[in-house]
Amino acid sequence: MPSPAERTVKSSQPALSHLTRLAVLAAAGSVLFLFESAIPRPLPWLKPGLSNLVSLVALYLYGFRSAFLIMLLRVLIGALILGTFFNPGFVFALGGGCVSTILMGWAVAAFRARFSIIGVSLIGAFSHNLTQLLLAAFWIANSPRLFYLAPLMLLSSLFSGFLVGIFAHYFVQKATKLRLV
Amino acid sequence: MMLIREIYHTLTLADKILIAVLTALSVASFFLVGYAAQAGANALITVAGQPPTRKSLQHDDLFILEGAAGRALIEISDGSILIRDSACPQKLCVRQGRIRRVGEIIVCVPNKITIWIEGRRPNPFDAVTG
Repeated sequence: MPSPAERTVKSSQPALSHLTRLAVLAAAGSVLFLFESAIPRPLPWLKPGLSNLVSLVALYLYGFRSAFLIMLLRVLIGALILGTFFNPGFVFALGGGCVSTILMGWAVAAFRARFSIIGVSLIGAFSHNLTQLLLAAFWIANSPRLFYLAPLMLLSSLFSGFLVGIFAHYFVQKATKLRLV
Repeated sequence: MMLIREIYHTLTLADKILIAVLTALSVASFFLVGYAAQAGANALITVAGQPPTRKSLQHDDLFILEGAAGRALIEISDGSILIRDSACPQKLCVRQGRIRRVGEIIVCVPNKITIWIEGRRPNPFDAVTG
């Protein structure tokens, strides 16, 4: 099943509208990214991964390549605005974003409709947090002591993943109904 | 209610299995971390930035430290250490209770007292790059 975007592009509609939609999603992702930077958390760089919402929506509406592109854009724009370009926070965001987007894309492609959007969101949230934890423990801080945070992070990703999945479910449903895609 | 029903109907079998597995993993990690946490051998006590004194956690002890804001009563028992009482205003350090595992720390800001648990074998390297 081709994604709606691919259909749009093929059926002589201007690719411009697709580009605009991606830009809007990337902008929304950057805002969420900045918003969650303001939430206090146990370690300065570890985040709940709320901005995964945008990658998830893009994955369902426009396919994997668009989702990955939007994730990259949100991480880059967020880092430029926060002034954290190339510091540990940037590396965490990029690493977590890449791994979670790839795994979510794989889950959708490999298991078709086995997982609902909520399940895919949970996979994204868990892989996002685990990647960040591994990066933090073995590279940035180089101290396995950080694994004390694992229970907290896994539990928080369970909640945030579920929540993001519900949001994404409604977003995709409404957007499809209103023909916004 | 509508929301809950909708969510329930959205969830597939694979979702439910995934949620069960992830929940089990999260809960298991609590126990794993608790189990893996090594009991400490010594307490490193620093007062007002002076060189730390090392106290073994194996020998019970009760002593008074002269901190920046007054006295603090320190107790070592059961292989753990705690601040029993302190002259600081909020007594946050007293409320932190016992610590016994490597890396755990009690800080009393007004008194400038820091208690840090160290393991049997200190890491021989300052840093490892790769």
